[in-house]
Amino acid sequence: MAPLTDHEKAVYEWQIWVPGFGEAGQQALKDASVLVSRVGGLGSVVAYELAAAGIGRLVLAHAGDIKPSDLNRQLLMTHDGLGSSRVESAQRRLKELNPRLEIVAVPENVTEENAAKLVGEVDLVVDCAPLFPERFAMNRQCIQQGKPLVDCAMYDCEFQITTILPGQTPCLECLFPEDPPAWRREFPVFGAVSGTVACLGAMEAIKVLGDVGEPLAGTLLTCDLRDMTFQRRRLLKREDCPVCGTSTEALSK
Amino acid sequence: MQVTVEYTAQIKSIAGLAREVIKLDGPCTVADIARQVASARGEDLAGILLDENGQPRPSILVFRGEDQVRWDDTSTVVSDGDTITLLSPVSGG
Ligand SMILES: [Zn+2]
Repeated sequence: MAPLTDHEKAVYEWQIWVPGFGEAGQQALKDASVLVSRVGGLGSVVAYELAAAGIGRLVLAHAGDIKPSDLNRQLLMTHDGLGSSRVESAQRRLKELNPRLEIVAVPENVTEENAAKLVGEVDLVVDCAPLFPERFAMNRQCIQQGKPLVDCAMYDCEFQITTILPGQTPCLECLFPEDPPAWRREFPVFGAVSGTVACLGAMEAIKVLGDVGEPLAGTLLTCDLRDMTFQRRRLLKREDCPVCGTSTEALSK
Repeated sequence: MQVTVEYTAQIKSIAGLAREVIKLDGPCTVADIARQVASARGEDLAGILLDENGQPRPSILVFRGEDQVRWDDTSTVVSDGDTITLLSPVSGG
């Protein structure tokens, strides 16, 4: 891969100062490729932070056109873009910030059909999908292909985030072995809540790719911004998990 | 003995409160706690916590303090002063 240019060293100077990160960390981000699945309230901010941090390549997957109700939180969408493609708007905004960034804009949501290819194109996935079947499709591919998956989600003023490291941590289907009947597609959301967990998700990606700090491996961080309660919780791996399990029952599936 | 039960996200909005202290006759499992609050708080909460056979739904995560507990774990006994969290699956972005 191409070494950091003098211009890049100038742009990223202040984060290269972060102890444990340095030029080696910056080079690792430049060489890295990340899939952000849906660039909505969460994914917009994840993508923006990763673009700002100097990730080399982003694959953005999100179907559909910009609607008025996107604009309270989907910060890569603009009023002028109402009715036009979401991923095109995201691509344009990210390029304004970082013209060196390579972007693959996919005007589709992640499905069972396209997940293998999309995950195959990147080093890490940040999962920002509003439906569990999309999350499960990415989780399966990440486990199969050995790619880290940052899973972040919110509801109302609460959020949850964990980082799944294949072979080391529980996976998403260890936690949720079925499509949760409790989850509804439409949810109350302030942009500041989805944006908060998005920044944490971007930081998890930077930590894993740049080999700095300790990611939330096997740990679920939960937060309620109504009363600012943050809690770290330890997660259990399911030995009979059909995706990552090691029991004979799991392997035979 | 008494324990604190915490609810999150959609479970919290259906229960109508974030946490409550419940009284127990004696040591019990996390599944017993789910069934007790489901029967105390009515059909809507019962429907989200339990399946048609009255078993806790596997997609609801339960924690004793900071540690996740498997629903079928009968060796983890809930004791006086514990905080049990019923975590609602969320997927919003
Ligand atoms: Zn698993």
